[in-house]
Amino acid sequence: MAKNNIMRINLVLDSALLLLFLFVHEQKAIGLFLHEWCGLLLLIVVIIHILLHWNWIDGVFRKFFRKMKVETRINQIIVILIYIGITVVMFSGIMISREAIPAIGIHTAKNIFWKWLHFKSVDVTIWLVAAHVGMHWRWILNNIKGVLTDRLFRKSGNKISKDNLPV
Amino acid sequence: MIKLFFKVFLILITMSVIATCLQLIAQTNVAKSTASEMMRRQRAGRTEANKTFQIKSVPTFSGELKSTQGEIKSSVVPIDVKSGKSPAANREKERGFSLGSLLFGASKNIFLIALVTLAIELTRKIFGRFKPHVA
Repeated sequence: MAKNNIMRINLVLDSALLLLFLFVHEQKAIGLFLHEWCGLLLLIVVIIHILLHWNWIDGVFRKFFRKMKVETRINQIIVILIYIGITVVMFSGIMISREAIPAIGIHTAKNIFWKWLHFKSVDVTIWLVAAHVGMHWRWILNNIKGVLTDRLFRKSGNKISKDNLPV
Repeated sequence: MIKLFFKVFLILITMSVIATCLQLIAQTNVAKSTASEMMRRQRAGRTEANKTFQIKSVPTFSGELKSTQGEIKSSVVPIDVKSGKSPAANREKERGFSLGSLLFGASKNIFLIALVTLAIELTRKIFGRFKPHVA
């Protein structure tokens, strides 16, 4: 039950993170104000995402220099690149901020380099995020199935229970 | 709780290390660009100083014309005839929330994610199928 709850929280938070990322990405559509504040919110959600998947990260990085499956190695590299990418996007975004950061009272740089870096890193990160989702697609599907079947069992809880089902 | 703080601290530390590296790169980049910009200005100033301007006819327009040696400045701000506002003000107005373009942009990115996912799944299937089976 506790495992199911964690799974559900993970699934909801990961979906929210993806949706928020897609939302923040459309700066021209949502306006600069929402883009910057939601971007800062995204940073917090990313940190929570890392914390929730800490065991996986810990397990994979402990075996970093050992021989491992190609898929796991690719996964590892993609995760590192996304982490760097997100950090670059956030930091360059903070440096060129015109709404959120000046509102706190911090003057930001008006440098073309940070703007260029922000746009380029976003372009690369979106591809990396797509690859990340693709690599974990089966995990996502299994979790959705798990949550859905759990809900079905709960609905018909009086009639059928998980333990009574033939294995 | 301490473990959680340690984890957050670790995340923030690695992020700040990346940020510091970026800052260093930016400083060298800025230094380079500033130096080249200064040299370009200096060169331009030298050639501009050698030029003599001869204005035969001055076009009539509303605004202020300040003329120094080799430099003409005007404080004319272009105004959109329809709205009566400057293009900058119009651009500011256009920056509001637009659900249509948000949905279009988001669906474009979702399509990209779906495409990459499909490619990865196909690669998995192909490599899974052609993997030699060991009895």
